[in-house]
Amino acid sequence: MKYKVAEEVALQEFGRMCEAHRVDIDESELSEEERSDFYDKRAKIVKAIRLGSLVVAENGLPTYTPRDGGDPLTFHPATGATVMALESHGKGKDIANLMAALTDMTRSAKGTFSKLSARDFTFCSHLAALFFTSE
Amino acid sequence: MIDRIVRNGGDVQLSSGAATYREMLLQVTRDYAGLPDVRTLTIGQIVFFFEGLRPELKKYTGKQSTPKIPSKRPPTRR
Repeated sequence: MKYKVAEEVALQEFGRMCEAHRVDIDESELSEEERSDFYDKRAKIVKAIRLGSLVVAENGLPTYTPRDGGDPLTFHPATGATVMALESHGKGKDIANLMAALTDMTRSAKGTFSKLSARDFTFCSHLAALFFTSE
Repeated sequence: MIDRIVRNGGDVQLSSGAATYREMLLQVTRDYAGLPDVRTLTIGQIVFFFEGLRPELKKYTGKQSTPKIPSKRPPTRR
């Protein structure tokens, strides 16, 4: 695997992205479980930044280019519409609801996420999960 | 760390951000009549408005003293 970005730079980019999405990355108040979950998410995102598939713009908004093909997806901060989208398909249909929320956050066309490969979709869902925690 | 909501007069952390912001969104929509279109509010704005309600929510959801139940015993005749 060829990395395009150094780890230190990728970590800084991660910090900028979290700031733009008002995600608190101060680990001091996290429990053991939360800390381990945070490290897991961070490692996946930092790896994508290092590979060049996730690029953080000057305004801190991340753009993910699916590795298995598809248009780049820019993640905007979640809004009330994103929260409402999480209930688009009723209870028990978690994946469909997550796709609706991701579609809203990326302001992409309906069905975009259903066409992604499993690993690209999984990565996008990790990113969204990070943005649904805050300070 | 996920923001906290209010339950029984105290701050409580739910297991997911989605459930937390859903509840916050519903609460601010209910309590602020002049709110702009809630679909356009960012999570930060939803939390901001919710923080304004937090003391009130704590006050009204806190444990209250048990109301006095009238005795079922019939009044005694003299």
